[in-house]
Amino acid sequence: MELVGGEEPRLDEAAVATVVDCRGLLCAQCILRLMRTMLGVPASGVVKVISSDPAAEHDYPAWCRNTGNRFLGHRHEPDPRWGALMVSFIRKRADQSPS
Amino acid sequence: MKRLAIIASRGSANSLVQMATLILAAVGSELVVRVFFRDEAVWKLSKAHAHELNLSEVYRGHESDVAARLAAQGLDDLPRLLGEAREVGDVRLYACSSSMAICGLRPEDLIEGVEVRGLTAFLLEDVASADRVLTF
Repeated sequence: MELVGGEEPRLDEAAVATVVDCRGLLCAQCILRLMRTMLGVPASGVVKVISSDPAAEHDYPAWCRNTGNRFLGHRHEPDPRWGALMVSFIRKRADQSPS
Repeated sequence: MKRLAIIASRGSANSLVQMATLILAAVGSELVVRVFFRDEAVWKLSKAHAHELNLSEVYRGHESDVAARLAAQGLDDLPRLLGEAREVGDVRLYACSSSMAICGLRPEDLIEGVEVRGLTAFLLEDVASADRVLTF
C-alpha cells in the first residue's frame, strides 16, 4: 500500500500488529487511546490508526516526533459515515517493550 | 521529559474542559504537567461545583446545545477528565491556598487527587522547572 507524509512511502499491510480505532474521537482522545494501545505493542511493532478527526494528519506525526516513535505515513479512505478517514501507520520505538 | 506548567484562573466549565483536553494531549505525549488552579477556577475543584456545567457568557442562549455536544464527546465531566489525566500520566493538580480561603473552601471540600499548594512553591519549583507555561 502507498502512504504519504511519513518515512515509508510503501508498506505491506501484513506488517500491522495492532489496529487502533479512533473513529468518532477528537483531539486528545485519539492520542490517549493511541498511547494506551502502544503500551501493549511489542518494540518496533507497526500500529494502524483509523481516525475521523481531520486533525490527525498533523497530530500523529507530531506525537511521534515527541515520543520517539516513527511515523510511517498515512492515506485517506472514503467512508459513508464519516466522509473521509485518515488511516495512519506508526512503528513503535525499538527500545520500548510492552508494559 | 519536557515539563508543562499551567495556571488556570478562569472558572467556566468550557474553559476548564478545554484545559483538561490539553492536559490529556500533553500526558498522552509524555509531558509532565503541573496545574495551579487559582481565583474562581478553584471552585471547579470543589465537590459541590465540579460537575456544574457553567458556560461562559458567550454561550448564552446556546447552553443546551453546547452541553449536548460536550456530552456526546464525553467532555461534560471535568473531574473524570482530570482523573483520567492523572491515571495515565505524570500530572499533579494544585489548588491555590489563598484562593481557597477567599472561596471558603477547605481541603476536604476538594475532589480527589487535588493538592493544596502555595503560590510561592508553585512559582519557585513548578514554573521555574517548566519548559513551557500556559495560562487559562
